[in-house]
Amino acid sequence: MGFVLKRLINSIFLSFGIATIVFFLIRLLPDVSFSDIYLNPRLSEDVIQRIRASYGLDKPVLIQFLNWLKEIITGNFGFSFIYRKPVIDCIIESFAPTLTIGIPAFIFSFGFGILIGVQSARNQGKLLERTTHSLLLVLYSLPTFWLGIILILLFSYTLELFPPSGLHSLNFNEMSLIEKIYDTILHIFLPAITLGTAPMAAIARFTRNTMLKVLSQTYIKTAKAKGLDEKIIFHRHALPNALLPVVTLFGLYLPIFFAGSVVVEEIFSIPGIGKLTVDSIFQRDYPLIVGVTLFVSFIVIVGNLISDILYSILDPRIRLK
Amino acid sequence: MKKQKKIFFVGFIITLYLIFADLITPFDPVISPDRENLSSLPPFSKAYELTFNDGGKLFVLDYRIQDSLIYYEQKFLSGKVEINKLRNVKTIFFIFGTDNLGRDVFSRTIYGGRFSLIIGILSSLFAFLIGVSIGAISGYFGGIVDKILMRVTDVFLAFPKLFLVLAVIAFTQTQTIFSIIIILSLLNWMGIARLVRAEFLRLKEMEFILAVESIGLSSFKIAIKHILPNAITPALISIPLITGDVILTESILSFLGFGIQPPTPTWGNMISEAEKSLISTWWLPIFPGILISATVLAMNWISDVSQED
Repeated sequence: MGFVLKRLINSIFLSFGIATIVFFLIRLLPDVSFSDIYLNPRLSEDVIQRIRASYGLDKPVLIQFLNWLKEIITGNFGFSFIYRKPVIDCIIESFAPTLTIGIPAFIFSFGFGILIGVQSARNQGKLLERTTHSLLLVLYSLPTFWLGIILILLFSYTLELFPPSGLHSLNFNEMSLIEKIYDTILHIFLPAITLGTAPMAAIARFTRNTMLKVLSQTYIKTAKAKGLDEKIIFHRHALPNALLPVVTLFGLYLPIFFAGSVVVEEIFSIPGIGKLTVDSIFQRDYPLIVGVTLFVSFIVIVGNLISDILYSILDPRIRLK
Repeated sequence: MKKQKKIFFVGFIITLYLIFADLITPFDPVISPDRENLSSLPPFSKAYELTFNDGGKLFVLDYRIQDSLIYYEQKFLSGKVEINKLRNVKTIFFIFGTDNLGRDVFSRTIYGGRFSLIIGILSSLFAFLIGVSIGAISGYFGGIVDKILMRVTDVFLAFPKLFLVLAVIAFTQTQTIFSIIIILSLLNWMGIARLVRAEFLRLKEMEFILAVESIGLSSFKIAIKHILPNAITPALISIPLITGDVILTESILSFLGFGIQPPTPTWGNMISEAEKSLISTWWLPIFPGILISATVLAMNWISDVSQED
């Protein structure tokens, strides 16, 4: 338990560090959020000062920082300029579409990745395996946005199998439940594939390599020398040990799937965290930028924590280090 | 030896390309010779450049000669000209087609890759320098310095990378190659720092270090002369990986409109422009995309080859 606690405390410090950096980064950058107001010639210096004071911008930076930190800890992330509602509401609303894409992509990349990786290790050296291995490197190198565009071109415009954008059809509300599910699956398919392809290739290659490493261990040789069946060796002795490091990838890949992909959401017009990110940056919406950054970093930290904890459960030796 | 040959080969091609890219572009990548008549031609299109005696030029898609007259076909018009006015006919090819402003996609793709490559290579080199410095300082001093630097590294690692790039670029409002290189190198040094630090700690305990210590060499000299060269070797492998990663990030930036601005072509902003007219000009996104993939693939492959024994 001490290990997990230590990691947890570490994560809290990390979050604090990120919050600090975000705050000072935003303050260091030129203050443009009120530039429109400043430009208005009818505003006197006095009024501008009062506007700044209403946002607490007249106080020393350190006081601002402490106030801000207090608000963050109590869960108040401020008020978004562009959406005119609390930042936390914007994030929660955007999180649902991100999850709708992220979960299928997560299942796709880990399912296929592990499957391909294990099969590759089993058939190592054969022509098909070598081709797959090279092909996976190609898939890993494809730029996500290009893959998305090519998939849209191919499956939406040419073959007309899947809709090119959005999460629902226009008449979504009039559909029956089964039609709704079907419609959503159609809309999710291309973005999920786009998001999941590169991680899938990485996971497959990683699984293959760890699997091969395990298969060359002496205890596998011992098992073989004992005369055990190849299948049993593979499934009972090699597989669990090889999948150990793969499981830690769950945590490390969490942000890719659940922190919102800017690119995929932009291409497929999905109103998720990634789109919120771009919008907040384009519109210079300070509270929203800070909120989204903290949220995304939070997911990264949670991901790291999960992978640490999973590893310590599956491989108790880690805890002693 | 074979491994080094492979890596050398890729490096050689990239260098050649960076030097000679201007010479192999057949057309101006930014300005079209004839915007109206050459726009949106599919790949492998042929066109003719008719030069007249008075120096005027005409771009036509097809022509035939009949009774001392030249009948020509353009994209929207057709017409005829007396043959004795004509000085020269040149056939021109657009192997990748042309975009909706009549620019040759092949020239743009060739030209656009230079920025991606320069940004990728320089950023990864800077990132390497930063990473090695921080990792070496951390490993050499140890103790509190090490703790602080590693926490900083952790914070940088937990940051959403693309997000930070976007934020900094959007707020500083500078999109020069130089600023993009600086930002991207500031976001990619963490892995190298960790690697170098770990190597430093490992090498400190090695017997050959004990040997030079016993000769009486100062600890600073040991660190610089004996530990550092050995510590950076494993980190070298990550340079091509970072290069590939940076090229991808740069293309995403250009794609989102935060990178180098049109009309200067980069692979990313070419694809971004192509997305607007995907149905009518399907060939526009294909070639820059293939080249990004090929470049990143080459980088990944170099590091793959270097890792093999």
